[in-house]
Amino acid sequence: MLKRIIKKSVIAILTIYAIITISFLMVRFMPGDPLMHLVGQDRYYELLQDSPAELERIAQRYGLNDTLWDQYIHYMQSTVTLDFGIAYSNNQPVLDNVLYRAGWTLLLSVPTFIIGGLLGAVLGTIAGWKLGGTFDKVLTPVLLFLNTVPANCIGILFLVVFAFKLGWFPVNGMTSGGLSGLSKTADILWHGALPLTLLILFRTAGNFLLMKSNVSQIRDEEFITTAYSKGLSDNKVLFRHVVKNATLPFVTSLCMQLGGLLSGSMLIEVIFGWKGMGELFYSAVNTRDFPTAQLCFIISAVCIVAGNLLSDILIAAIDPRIKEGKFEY
Amino acid sequence: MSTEKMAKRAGTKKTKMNAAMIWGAAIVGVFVLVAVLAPVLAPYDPYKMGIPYIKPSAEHLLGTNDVGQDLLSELIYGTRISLFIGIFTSIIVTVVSLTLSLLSGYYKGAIDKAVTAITNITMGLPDLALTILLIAYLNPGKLSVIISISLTAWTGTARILRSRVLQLCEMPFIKIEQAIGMNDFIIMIKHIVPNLKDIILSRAALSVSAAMMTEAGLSFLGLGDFGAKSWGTILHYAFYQNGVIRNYYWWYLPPILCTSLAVLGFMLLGYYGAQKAKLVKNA
Repeated sequence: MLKRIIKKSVIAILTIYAIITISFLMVRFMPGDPLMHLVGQDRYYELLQDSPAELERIAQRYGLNDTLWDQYIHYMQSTVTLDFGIAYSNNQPVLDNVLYRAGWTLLLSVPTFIIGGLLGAVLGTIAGWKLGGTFDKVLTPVLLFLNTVPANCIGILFLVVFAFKLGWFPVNGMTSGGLSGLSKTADILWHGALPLTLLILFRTAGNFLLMKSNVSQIRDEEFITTAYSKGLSDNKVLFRHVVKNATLPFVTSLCMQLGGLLSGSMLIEVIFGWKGMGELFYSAVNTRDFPTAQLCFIISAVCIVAGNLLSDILIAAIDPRIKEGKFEY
Repeated sequence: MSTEKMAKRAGTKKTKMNAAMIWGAAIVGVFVLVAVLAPVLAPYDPYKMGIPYIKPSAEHLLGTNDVGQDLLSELIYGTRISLFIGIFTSIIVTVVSLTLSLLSGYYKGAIDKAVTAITNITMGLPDLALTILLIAYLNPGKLSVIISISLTAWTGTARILRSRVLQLCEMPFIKIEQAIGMNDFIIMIKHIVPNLKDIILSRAALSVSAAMMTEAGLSFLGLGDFGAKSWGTILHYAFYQNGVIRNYYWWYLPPILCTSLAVLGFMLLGYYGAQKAKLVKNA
């Protein structure tokens, strides 16, 4: 058990290392001057015009004149010490910018994770338990459709109907400004209502399909027949045997969703002007602000790896088959 | 041999389509037809400019956009690009994951370890973010879009196929082939691949829908191929040139419907196809 956790942790660390290396190589081997990627396109041409000396100084700072290997060492050092440089958009450290935005993204994604997880589990259990019943027949196509449609498509429809036509919700942004305390919280909630609803819908749809297939599979297992033949009631079979077993794979996949907390809502953020990390990443890519885009990328990747690791550990902790080393996932 | 034939026969029986798959096939069929017949069906040249913001009328069935291009023609030609990128990506994804899974499932050992490691690393990458980074910094074009999407999209299929190949390799008919000294390559192509057919087809259909969804998102963000007009590109202009705010429904609604329908079509084929192949979605 402990051996397994250590092994998985080592693999996770190696994966993160590989990802950081990939993002280093990406800047150096992309078409175009790497310096341009590092300082941002607009800034690059501006400096090229006004002060090539400054540009040269930045090249020195990033060590672009050194050998690739020295650059790599330097890059790794600054990554480990969390020194990602200064963003040219507002002269703040890139790390501060990204972390500030990440907070706003979490404001959307944490409730999505919790509510979407619960709703998906409950609805999925009902549909899977009464497979082919009315509830299943009505809900499955609807949620399958929701799970299918691109986020930006439904996002725009929501925007048109609820913000423009009905005027119930603001079109854009996160706060109206000038408020404090409770009214500010309410205001943020009001601004976040549309993107949040959408994200919860999508997440519920995904989780629903997952839970439904888990439950419906377990329902047909032999030990369920045994449970019935012992004379257990429907409810007891459902809660003691079916739900308990169906929850295990569900929880592990929830852990994997934890990894997407920061990177999963980009399109929705862009459409609703929610200044979260996804939106920051998008605008960083658009303005060719590579350090910011790179940091967003690395942070999202670390989250995903951590989520996967967590699900690996959890599955080992709760599944006795793996605990005893009899069963390899 | 007879075991294999039986397995094969069972496989062909399973592919009989259910109602959902027929719907999916019908939707996909219509879109493919539109894509092929685009020059015949489109009433105007999608790039020809004219009077902007015309409402749907007899002359322009779906009206015109901000520079007066006929939206119906744009939509019809857009079918070509959206489908092309979706299907082409799916082909790459399927071929790559099939090759990797055959190698790792059949030869096991070091190759399997290496492939599994690569798969795990790729699964740790934030896929949409990586795709966007690549597209933004590579030279713009359809090919970059396809490569960038494929780069992270193959892992799911590869995992499923690998575990199936591992199972198949334990079956008697493969063991017998190996015992009589049949060439590895021939065993894989003639005996393993046919038994993976159902999974491959359903996963391929799902890959098309996933790729089309990613492409729709990318070109909506203005990151796709600038020259080509996919459905996402039409939506991009509708959103950023105030078509949505002014509620020019004929501008933003059709691309949304087309994207959703096409994705749904492939999804129905794949999802219910997977159920037929006794393959649960997240297995």
